[in-house]
Amino acid sequence: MTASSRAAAAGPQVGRRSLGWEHALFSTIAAAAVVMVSYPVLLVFLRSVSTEDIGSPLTLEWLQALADSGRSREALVNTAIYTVGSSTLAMVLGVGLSFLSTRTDIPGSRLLGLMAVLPILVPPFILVVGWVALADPNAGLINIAASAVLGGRTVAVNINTMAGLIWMTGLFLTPYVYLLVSAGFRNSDPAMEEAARVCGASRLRLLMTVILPVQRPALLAALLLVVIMSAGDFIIPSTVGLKARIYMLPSLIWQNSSSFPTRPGLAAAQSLVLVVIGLVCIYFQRRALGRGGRYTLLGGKGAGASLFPLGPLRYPLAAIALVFTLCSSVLPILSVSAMAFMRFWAPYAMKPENLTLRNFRYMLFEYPQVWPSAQHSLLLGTLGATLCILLAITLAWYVIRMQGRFSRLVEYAMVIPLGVPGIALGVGILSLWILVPGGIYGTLWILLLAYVTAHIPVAIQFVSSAIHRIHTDLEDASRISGRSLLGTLRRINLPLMRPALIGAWLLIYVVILREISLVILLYNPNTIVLSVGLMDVWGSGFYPELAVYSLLLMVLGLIPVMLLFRFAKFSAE
Amino acid sequence: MKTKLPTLSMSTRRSLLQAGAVVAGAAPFLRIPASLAASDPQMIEAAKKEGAVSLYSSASTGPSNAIAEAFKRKYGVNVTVYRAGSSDVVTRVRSEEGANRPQADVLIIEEPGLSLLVPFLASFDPPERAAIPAEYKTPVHTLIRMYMSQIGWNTNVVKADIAPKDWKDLLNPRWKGRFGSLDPHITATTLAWQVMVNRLYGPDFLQQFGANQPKLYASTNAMSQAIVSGEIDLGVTNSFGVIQMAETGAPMAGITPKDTVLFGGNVGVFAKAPHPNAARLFCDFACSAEGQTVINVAGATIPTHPQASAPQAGNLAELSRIHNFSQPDYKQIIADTPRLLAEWEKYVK
Repeated sequence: MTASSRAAAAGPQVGRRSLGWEHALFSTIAAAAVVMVSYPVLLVFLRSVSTEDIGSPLTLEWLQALADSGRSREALVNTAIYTVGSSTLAMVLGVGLSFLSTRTDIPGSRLLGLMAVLPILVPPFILVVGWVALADPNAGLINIAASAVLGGRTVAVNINTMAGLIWMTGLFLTPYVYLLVSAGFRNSDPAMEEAARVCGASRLRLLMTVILPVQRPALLAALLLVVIMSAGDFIIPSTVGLKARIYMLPSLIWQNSSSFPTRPGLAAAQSLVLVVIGLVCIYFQRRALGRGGRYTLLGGKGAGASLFPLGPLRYPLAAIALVFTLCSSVLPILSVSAMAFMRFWAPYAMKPENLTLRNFRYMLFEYPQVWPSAQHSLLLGTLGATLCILLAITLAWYVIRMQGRFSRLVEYAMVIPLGVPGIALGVGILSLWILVPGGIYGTLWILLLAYVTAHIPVAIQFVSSAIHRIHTDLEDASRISGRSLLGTLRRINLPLMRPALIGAWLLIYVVILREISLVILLYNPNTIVLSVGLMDVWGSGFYPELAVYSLLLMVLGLIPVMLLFRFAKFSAE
Repeated sequence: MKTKLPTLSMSTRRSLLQAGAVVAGAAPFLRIPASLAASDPQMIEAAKKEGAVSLYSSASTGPSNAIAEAFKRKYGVNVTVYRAGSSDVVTRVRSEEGANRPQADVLIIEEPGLSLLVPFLASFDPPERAAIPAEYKTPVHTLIRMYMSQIGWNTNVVKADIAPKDWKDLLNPRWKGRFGSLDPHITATTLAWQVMVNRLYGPDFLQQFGANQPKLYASTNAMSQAIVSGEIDLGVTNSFGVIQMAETGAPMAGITPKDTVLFGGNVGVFAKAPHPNAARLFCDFACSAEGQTVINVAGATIPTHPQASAPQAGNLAELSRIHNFSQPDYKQIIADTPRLLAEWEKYVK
């Protein structure tokens, strides 16, 4: 095998015992994964230059329309402002909270850790409805309270503004940053910090010159993720954004695939803009990251980084962290829970005579789609997250350690799905599989494929930043002692990466539970999933029913998180 | 005319739904014509043999599930419901037909989605639709449920003396930034309303409408919700949205202006239905007084079958004495959409 001998020659860290079949296996999986993520984009691209369906005459009409449309340009500017604002907010909050909870003596650090990731379990709908209930200029509880205190019609906060959108999205993305960064903080090698301290560095200097810089891979991975997620976010722009008439690219894509006559070509052209944004981001991230060797921080020596004393700031900082967790999960969950018990939802209607259990009875026992969809979602969430992680380990290993011939290609290809909005990815997958006779169209497998395709980039971000932190010395020692590649992966890398892997698994599991636009064209009545059912109720039901459905979704997401949190804690001790 | 609100304050959408199902079961009380039993016994037998039918519906979950359940109870044939917005239904049917993998048996959809799917429907004259007036029938589809464009408001805020009576009242500066509209980019039915006001009041209307700064919503229910919670005082909504919200006990009322748009859900059978007999049996049931009673009670809409009983939304014959119903030419609307949307974007922004 020429490929394996080249890899062996190029990377001595792989070890001389690298077997041909191992390399061949990894390369084959990598090649299949590249195909998996690329064909939907090719089909979307084809759509953007086809007059109608794929196969119809080619045209530049849609790309031209994209450039000519004032709305598209306006949406691009809005998307840029929104992305920068919400990514900044998410990074500041996410990095701040993960540092506070893992590296300082803040009171209740464990609770803080749990609270920081809690918003991931909150379906975005809850965040949106919760914040509208709190901060609408007319009907928001905060403004009603402000008017009562200050008199007149006081609008203290207004959610229907760009700042309001950024606030919600920033809160929504913070836990992703937390999950990516906190594993690194927790596992970092204390030696460098000791060295800096011995040299007399102040705490701030230590933070700025040692602690944060060594987390660069994780920080850049988190930044990339939140930039792309906010640029492609759909729920918040299409609800509050629409109401406030702040148009963004994903809401335009949605409009163009929903209005009659549908303009799939224009939607595809707008999707291409998001794909390009995604690819440009990954390019800059790679440039900033440089090569991996400099960031190997998890050496063989025992860890146990010392905690930063916060001194007099201990309680004020704990209070700020508490306020954040209240805003991002507790308050919206409370307002949605209250909603679930009401005959109809309005701030003034929160009276005993409007309380009812009818919504629960209807949604849980009479609504025919609810239980089949819950079963499908649990199955797909568990399988999908597990497959994503296994595939991500394989691919990250191929790219980082084997540095196989096509590792650059694999690296770039694996970010593609991030840049493709769910609906477009769904169309791409559908366009292929509907043509395969007797294939997976109309089954749960096509949903599984879609979930794995869509979430492989996130899994890879987690896994690669975890692999980057493991020093190759450990792997070399294992290989020299005669363990095979797969054995080394199992005995050395997997245990060391466990916090990151658990984080990634949970993240993907809950995201699969609530993914909507991706599967809307792929499911059929026999494979309905929770999120689609939720959207149906959103489109044609009332908020109290929707609240029950969302709470169910949240509880199903919460179960594995509770289990794994216990497990992770036990293993850490 | 002010919409009649339900007099039974305890009655809810669900209990009405159940009541509808019970009443539908008690056929003798409804003067259901003898032809009900006339669905060809051979067809029933063949449908039972097929064992399943797949319904693609753009009606809300409530009415879609209600008719599916009623059909299953009556014939023992299982119904799987694919419910989605009409554009998603259209996209799905087109992809499946394009790939020659038809999955759908029977369709319930509103315009303009209907016009786009007509090429895929089979000619079928269900026995049960004999009683339905000719104007609601074509060779391939039958109108079974109707609703109207309305202005709905929060009765806590909008008292009778200031309540709007006509579309023009939306231009009153009193409502500036405090009323809602659906976005025609998302709900194509709004285009029909846009065409109507343009015809009634000329192009100035949309300009002034835009200048009065409506807030835009993606669905009727999202807007009803915003009206009830106090986000906005009133909005351009639909009759079933107002009725169903009021049924939950919320302070909502509405009015149908003299000129209004009539929307309707149609049923049809797919030419390439995998379960052709079950599809026809379902279509026949959906046209019948019994089927129409179920779907219209659950959806707070108006039936077209003279013997169907769904009183919440009123009776079309009575309503049409007071109102001028605009029945848009949807083929024209589909062709004009880019222009209409450009107009909307220019003024409403």
